[in-house]
Amino acid sequence: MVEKEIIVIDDKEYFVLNELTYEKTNYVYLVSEKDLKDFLIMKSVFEREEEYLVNLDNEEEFDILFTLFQKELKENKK
Amino acid sequence: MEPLNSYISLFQNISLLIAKVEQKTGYTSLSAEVKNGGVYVKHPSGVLVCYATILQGGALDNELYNHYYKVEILLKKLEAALFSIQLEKQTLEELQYRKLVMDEQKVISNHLEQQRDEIEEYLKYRQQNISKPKKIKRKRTIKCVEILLVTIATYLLTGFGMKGAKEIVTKQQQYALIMDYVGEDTNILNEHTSRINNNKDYQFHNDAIATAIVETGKNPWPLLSDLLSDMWFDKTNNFPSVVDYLNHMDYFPYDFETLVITANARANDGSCDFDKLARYIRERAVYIITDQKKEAMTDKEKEELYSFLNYFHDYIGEVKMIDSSKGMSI
Repeated sequence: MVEKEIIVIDDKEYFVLNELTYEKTNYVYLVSEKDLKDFLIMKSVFEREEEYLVNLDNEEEFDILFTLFQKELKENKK
Repeated sequence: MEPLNSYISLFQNISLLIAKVEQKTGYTSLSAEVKNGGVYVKHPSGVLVCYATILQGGALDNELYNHYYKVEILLKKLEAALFSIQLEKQTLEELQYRKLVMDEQKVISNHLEQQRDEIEEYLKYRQQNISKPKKIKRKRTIKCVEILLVTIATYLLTGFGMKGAKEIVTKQQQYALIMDYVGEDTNILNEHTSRINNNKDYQFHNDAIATAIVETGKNPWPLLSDLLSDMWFDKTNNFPSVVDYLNHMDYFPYDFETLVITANARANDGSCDFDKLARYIRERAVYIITDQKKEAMTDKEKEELYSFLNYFHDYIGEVKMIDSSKGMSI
């Protein structure tokens, strides 16, 4: 067992597996506790000093971030 | 009784017949036998190659003519038969080749199908990721989750590795084998011994079985379990090496559900058979306690640690470096 940050989305619990910054935006890689294949990549935005996680804008953004997260996970394995 | 001259002529012509049959069939060293009014041409193996009928009576020329006529017919049949066999052989080879091609096509098809599934899965997740507009307020809620690899603690001086191990064992409420490693530095060892003996934080849950692995025959090590002391430490205070321990794992009476390895074990002097260890940890919950201060590690220490972790890559899904004090990735 390890302590991880939990985000509830659509009544499902995801934990923050990884975070990275790309072009000055912070992105999080969320994984469902019950199904490791179920993941979400979201980006962090601030509104009135409150932090929110929002969807990615488009497929291109997803492709870039997915590749970056995968690369980081592989490098962490080394 | 057949006329003698006809025999002589026949025998003279038999050699011609054999030569002709050899020429037609490609077989060599054929022999012929005259019996029952016919000529049997045979292969050295005894297999009948062709049969020609000898006509009785009439002019010898006619006989020979008829004889050759029949031989020609037989040879044609033989050719046809051989051609048929050749055809069958070709057909068989072709069928085998076709099967090979089909098998290869099947492999390629399966591979493509797998790739297609992967791509479809990727597209599905991509769609899922961007389709529904979401806006979630981040609350920084921390919860204990079960993932395969945890972390932390190279420094034996603070006993962080063993403390982390104890925490895992207590939470898991399972039998666990904890592997630690110390070198020859007596000061470190004494300090660690003192901590374990005097600080209740280092005393393990009753249900847990813990031990420490030390280099063969070197420094004494405090016993973390009386049970293990009885079983594994003999009267002469010869301490089991990692190898000794691993050699007996298969026979150990407890099925450890959890194996905790402190990263101190990375300082392998060859006494620990990591390959064997990797086989052992298959299908068990494994926690590797490694250094939380990755930045503070020297290049040599990092190299040792990565080398250590590499031994377990095939058995562990994710290897993550986590700052355990904050529960966050680093």
